[in-house]
Amino acid sequence: MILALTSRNIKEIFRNRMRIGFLLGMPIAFMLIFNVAFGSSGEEIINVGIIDLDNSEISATYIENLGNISGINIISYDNEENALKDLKDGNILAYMTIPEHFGENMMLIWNNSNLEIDLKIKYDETLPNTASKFISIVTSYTLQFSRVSIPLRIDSEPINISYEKNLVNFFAPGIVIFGLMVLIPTAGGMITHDKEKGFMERILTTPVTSTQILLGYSLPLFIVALIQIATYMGVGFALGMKIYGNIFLLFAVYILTALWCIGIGMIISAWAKREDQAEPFSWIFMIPVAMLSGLWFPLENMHPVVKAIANLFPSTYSVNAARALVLKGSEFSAISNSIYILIVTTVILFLVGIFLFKKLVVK
Amino acid sequence: MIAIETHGLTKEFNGLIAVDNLNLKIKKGELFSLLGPNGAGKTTTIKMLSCLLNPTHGKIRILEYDAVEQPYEVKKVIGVSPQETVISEFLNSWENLELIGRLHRMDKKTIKERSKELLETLGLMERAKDPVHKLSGGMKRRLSLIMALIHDPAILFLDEPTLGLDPQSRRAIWEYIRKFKGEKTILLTTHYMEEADQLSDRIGIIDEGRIVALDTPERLKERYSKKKVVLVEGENIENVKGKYTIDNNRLVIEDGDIKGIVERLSKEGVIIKSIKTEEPTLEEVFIEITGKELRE
Repeated sequence: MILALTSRNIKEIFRNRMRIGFLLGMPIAFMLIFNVAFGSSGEEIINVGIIDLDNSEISATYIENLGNISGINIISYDNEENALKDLKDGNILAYMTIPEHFGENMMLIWNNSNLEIDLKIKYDETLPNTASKFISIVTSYTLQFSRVSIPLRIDSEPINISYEKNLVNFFAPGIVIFGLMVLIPTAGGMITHDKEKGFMERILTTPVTSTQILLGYSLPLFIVALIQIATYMGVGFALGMKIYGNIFLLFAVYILTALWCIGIGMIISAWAKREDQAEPFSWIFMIPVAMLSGLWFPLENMHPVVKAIANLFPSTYSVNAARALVLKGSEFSAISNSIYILIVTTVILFLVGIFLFKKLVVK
Repeated sequence: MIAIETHGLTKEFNGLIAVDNLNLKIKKGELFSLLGPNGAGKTTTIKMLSCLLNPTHGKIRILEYDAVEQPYEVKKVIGVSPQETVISEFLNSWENLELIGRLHRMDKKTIKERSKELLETLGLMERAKDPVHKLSGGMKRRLSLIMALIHDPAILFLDEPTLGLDPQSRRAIWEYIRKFKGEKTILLTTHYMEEADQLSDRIGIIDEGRIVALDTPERLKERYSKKKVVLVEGENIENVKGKYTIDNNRLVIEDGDIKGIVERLSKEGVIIKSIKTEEPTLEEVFIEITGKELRE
């Protein structure tokens, strides 16, 4: 009896491609993705800003040579204000201020004077790995430049000293967005369940349009999403999360995220015939997307190919915008591109969903 | 007045013909049964008539509407009870009825009155507030049936309304269907002979997507069934061996003339203990026409 049942269940599992894909394919996908994500960092170019307060020949040479180091791209700024804005907007990773009298002091050092060189670096706290890479490059380069071992003081500080070293600030946006992504299997599963059990057909024997049905399923999910957002934010605040940006803008980003997730769930449910296809498929889609879009760990160390792929997913724009708002207090102008991309994606997904539902209504 | 009319109705699925050139005319107030084995095309026909499937060829008229061109008009006048029990498991009976009523744009008051009437008639009132996943199979089935009736449709499609029910629940549903027979035009599909026989004004026997016979139950039996069969038990049956079929120590005589049989057997010295006649059944009609048995 037990053997017969076992044999039957093995057949059930192995004859269901979706399930076997879920059981075997998923861990493989995880392994591959982690490997790529944490492996080689690739030929990454770091954009850094320089403010030259000295404006001497020596400081110019110093900057020029620093710019020749492979992997570093230098952008010059006249004042700290502009550099800080670009840093907050994510255009540069860090900026360094070269103090007045840098050239004079360097000359004195070359003449065996015992002087201290004081460089100030501000960097983006959200990308600590790349920042430390830059700081170490600057350290060794400056020592080389001065030709002698000098007491070099690099005064590095993350932007916004008021930041608390709080992980929740970094992780919360990603977790909220991942939580919202669970709407994908929920939407997909719910609709497919009704299709499978014939309830959708029962609804279709009444005079309702496909658009009404689509909305009749998205709206309750949207309400769920609002509850999710409020709950996640509440928990985030309880854990000490601080939002530096506009909280309403952050809500807008989360709501757009919920909408594109529901849209994807709809499309999956229009395609899937059975609930046990829709749910695993949703997860197979979600997990790699969540990882590739930097929901759980920063994207900065990823291979450029992975980064390029990540840019195809709406979750990347959601998390970038949310993180910019929470961590950097960015203005709308800094995240407007992400928001426009999210709006366009949502509209396209819903249009596709309505189109697929129309086909579902009459076969 | 014709309520449902199809002309050359055909449905193909990837080259397989599920419904083949179906021509039906169902009068207003008539109860018409499609009788056939599983896979004969009954459900596909109902799905096309209720605008869930587009036909590959052919025309469908429901009252004055064309089902392909005016699906929303058709959907307003029909009620469909699907083959499976289709209810929303986590709602209670009231809420299930309300949902369908509201999809038909009924006002809440009418829904409530009509639900009350339906729930009472089908004996569901007592448990109407329980979530339906807690109801028995028979109760769910009845609820699923009345969900097709909440908006008081002129035309009713009942796809295997008693599939998988125990005889008692089946009879309860038959009773109920008889109550509104004549009021509504009903197209019922079944593979239960007795159901078709008991309820229908006319029966269309469908096999492999084609209507192979269509008439009232009585005339179908008259036309296609063998004569009455008489079964005789008694002593000295061997005396007539060769003249009549002997099955299980019983004589099987295909002749309705009981008096004649008794006389003839007495002459042969058969002492009759019991004599029983068997009426022709739809089952026989079915086997006669299609050459196959209709298994339940």
